[in-house]
Amino acid sequence: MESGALLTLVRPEEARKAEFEEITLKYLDSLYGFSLVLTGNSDDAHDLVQDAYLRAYRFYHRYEQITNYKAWLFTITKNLFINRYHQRAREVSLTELEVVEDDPYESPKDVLVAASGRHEKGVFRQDFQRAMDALPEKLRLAVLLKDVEGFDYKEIAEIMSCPLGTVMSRLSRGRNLLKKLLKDYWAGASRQTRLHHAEHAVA
Amino acid sequence: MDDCSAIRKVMHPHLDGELDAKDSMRTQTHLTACPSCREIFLAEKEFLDLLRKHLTPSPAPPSVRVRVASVRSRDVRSDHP
Ligand SMILES: [Zn+2]
Repeated sequence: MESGALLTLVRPEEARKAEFEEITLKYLDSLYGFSLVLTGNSDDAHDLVQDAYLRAYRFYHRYEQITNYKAWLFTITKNLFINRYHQRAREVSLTELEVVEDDPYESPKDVLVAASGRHEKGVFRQDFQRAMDALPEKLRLAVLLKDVEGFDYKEIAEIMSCPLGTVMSRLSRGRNLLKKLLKDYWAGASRQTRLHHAEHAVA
Repeated sequence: MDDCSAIRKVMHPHLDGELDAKDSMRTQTHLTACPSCREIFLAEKEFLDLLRKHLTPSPAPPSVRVRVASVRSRDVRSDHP
């Protein structure tokens, strides 16, 4: 027994809620991954995602003015993190080695050669994740925002509140370090595989 | 023609589509003319493709969905000043 009048009263609110759920849930995995890198542990990442969604829900009526919803969600999350975990964030930045401009350049050819012996997709994914986890936090964030989440440099600079040049340098250093780590894993792994095969051949 | 070290510094921005039209054109011109930069550029591109293919967002644990659902069921306007 829905009357036309009732529908116009109920629908916009319900439609708005449904729309909020749809666009925010779409980014849940990404936002959790981002929160996990920021906080460094699962409990705090849960809290941070929940707080970010709560804030996003409250400010949802401004959505018309938000042109980039995903970047907006990431910015909310990062700002909440800075406010809530300020003390810890400072500790992180103190231990961070920001000025290491002379990391030796890693040739992409070496890492591709090392990769060519490794075909299993599951293992590959694990290796990339392990290498990411080994990156210093700021470099990991830059790579996450660019290569996993697909933001452009300007969006990353806004989310992380840092200059464009810093984004470029962190991204370049992060990718360079990933090459080195992966090359080492894969070179080591293929040595082990060869050894394993050799043992089997003997046995 | 630009020197190779200048081109190598902008390889990633070029791959990321972040160079303006003029710089992009200059980089492209150099890559066409310089085999050693081109080789590195193509390898950088292949590495980034590999990285992006395997480094996708991991699914959030179900407990995160539960926490987010609790946000939606709450009357958020009542505690907003
Ligand atoms: Zn060159």
